[in-house]
Amino acid sequence: MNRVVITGIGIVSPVGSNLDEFWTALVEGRSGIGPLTIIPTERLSTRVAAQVIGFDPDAHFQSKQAHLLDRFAQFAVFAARAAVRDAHCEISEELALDAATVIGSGGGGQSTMDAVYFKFYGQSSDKVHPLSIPRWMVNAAASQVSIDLGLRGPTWTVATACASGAHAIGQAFHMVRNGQAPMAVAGGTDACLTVGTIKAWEALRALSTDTCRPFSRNRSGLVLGEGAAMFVLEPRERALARRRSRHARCPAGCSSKPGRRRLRQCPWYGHDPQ
Amino acid sequence: MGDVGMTVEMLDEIKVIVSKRVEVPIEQLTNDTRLDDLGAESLDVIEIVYDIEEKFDIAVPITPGESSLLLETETQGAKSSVKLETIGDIARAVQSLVDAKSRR
Repeated sequence: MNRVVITGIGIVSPVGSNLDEFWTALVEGRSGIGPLTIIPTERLSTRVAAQVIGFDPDAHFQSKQAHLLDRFAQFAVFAARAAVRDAHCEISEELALDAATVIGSGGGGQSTMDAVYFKFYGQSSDKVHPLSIPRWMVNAAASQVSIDLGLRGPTWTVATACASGAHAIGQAFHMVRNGQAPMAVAGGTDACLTVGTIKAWEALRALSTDTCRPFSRNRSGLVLGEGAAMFVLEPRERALARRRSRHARCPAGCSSKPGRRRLRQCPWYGHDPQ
Repeated sequence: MGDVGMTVEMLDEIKVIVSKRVEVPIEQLTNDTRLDDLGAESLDVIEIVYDIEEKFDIAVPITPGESSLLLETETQGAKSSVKLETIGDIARAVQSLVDAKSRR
């Protein structure tokens, strides 16, 4: 059994899209929730969301690659690149051959799906973009990350709602621990702020109209957000060999579902800087 | 007329669309430029067809899954497919589809 450590982290978030910015925001207790501005809201009652503002795909992708990427996959690829840079990990041909990509997503390419349905049903157009399916499949982010980084090992997606990312990291942890993969890029991504998706959440009577106050007596619901976080998981020995400081150690992982309608998670955990 | 079966404008429109998709400067494209030589992949081809359909509001009946364009045609009830290899081929085919549409 390998001991598994996290050597790289990459992030796209409403409070910052690099590790320092993100960490500072966490420490300062800054919220990423604000007025919903990236989509039209005339037909919605929701007015707040945690949006990633100012993410410019053109700054990160050639137009040919950008065509294949829904926003949720753009986030994933951006964060995965940052995680690998942060890990200072030279991915040799041999390492790449078995390196795993395990990415969680709750909703997949929601903006692509929304745009296609709007055009087809809303505007009665018969012309739908030919790359809609490769963009919106829920495994698109994992596939695009593996293509972008040249990782050729197991590449797959975990979809377990809000726990998708945590479960993906847990699965990657087990693969690296068991020696099934010599390294893994794992994490979660979602970009679900579309008119249709928010409308559906409103129908569930689950969304707050002001803000998110978990456990508070006067809580009013959840607030949707978007972003991605990716991690590089490696055996401790390799990290030590290149004297890479570790972000965290992953001692164990488990998950459970109590079989009732209310889901409770006991996800992977890990915390041990150095 | 720039060539038999198509207008200069049509050829230019097709060049614009192809140039954008395969990321080759428009000056390098001629009537005789072959899609294969531009390194167009199957996904590029379906995007080119999509752009053409959007631009001219026509349906282009192509055979899927090919890296070259196979246009499905029907003459006197007999179905066949024509291979469109060059930019000129595409322009001529689109011109005939556009003309057929305006005759309707």
